[in-house]
Amino acid sequence: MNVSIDRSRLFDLLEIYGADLNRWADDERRAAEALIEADDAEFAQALDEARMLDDVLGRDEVAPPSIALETRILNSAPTPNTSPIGERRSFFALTGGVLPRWASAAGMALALVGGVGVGYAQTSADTEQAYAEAVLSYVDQDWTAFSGAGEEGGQS
Amino acid sequence: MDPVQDPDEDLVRRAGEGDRRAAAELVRRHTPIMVALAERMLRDRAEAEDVAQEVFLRVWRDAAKWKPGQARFSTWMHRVAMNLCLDRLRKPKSAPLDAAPEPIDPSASASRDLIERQRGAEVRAAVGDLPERQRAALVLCHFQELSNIEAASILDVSVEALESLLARGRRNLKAKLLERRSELLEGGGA
Repeated sequence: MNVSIDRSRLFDLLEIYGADLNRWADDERRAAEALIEADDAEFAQALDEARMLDDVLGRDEVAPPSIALETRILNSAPTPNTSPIGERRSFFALTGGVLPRWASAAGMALALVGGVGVGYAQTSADTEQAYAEAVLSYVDQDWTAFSGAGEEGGQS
Repeated sequence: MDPVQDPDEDLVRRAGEGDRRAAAELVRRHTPIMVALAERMLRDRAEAEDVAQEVFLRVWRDAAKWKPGQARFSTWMHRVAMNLCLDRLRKPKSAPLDAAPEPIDPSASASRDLIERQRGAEVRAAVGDLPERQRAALVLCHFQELSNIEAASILDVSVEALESLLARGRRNLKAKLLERRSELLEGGGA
């Protein structure tokens, strides 16, 4: 489809969406690219100015969330009646009603390792899986420890 | 109209059924995005984290009822987060303790990161000083990289009105920031 786009609209779009043409609609991006290829000096200058603002805005980076926050959020997630809680209780029962210290420590360590892993390779599918397992491990251990307090009392 | 392709659809369904692994993946995918939106809107990390938690409480509450095909789940999350931020901004409150900019440590070894953070903070302060609607439009379109249609829908305005907000916002920022651009861009490799 050949859409005729008013030249002034392209200058407006620089003011609206900035210089990253990937953020523009396809037909408008093609029209802008045609102006760039035609060495339109006025458009090139406007493009540079818009790019400068984009670059300055790029200095504002938000720190990633802590694993503590993500764990708190995950702790608030629902669990179904059919969740593997029974398996966790079995594990708890096998320990004699006392959560071994290594279990909590291992959970924490896995969570930390997962957090570090995420920092280095957030897009890796393996890391995603490791992260999910690490956080789940931490959450599961924590849940068992908490519920264990009540069970321990009941057994005495 | 074609149904919307939603990369979160399966995760949301499974999380709604209580699948912890799916919930963990949703948390991993979206917590950074929600915190970033809220921190840029509110200029307060602790409040931003509160907002992220509130968003997820609604996710967990509504995940099982989510009907795919109308909008992407992440767009809905953005709408919830933005509304929570706007609610907080409209409530009167005392000035945050960290409102004053951090002083720059002059020692070369310690100051580089601090200077970087200071420059980032200056940019965020300029964005934060924009009128609320202009800031919201810029945060959604520029920083969160939503489409203009998604951002307009979240702000309940037309695409034309959104473009007007964006243009005014960027003009305001240009006036504030570009006169100091060489200082702000120095050493950033941008």
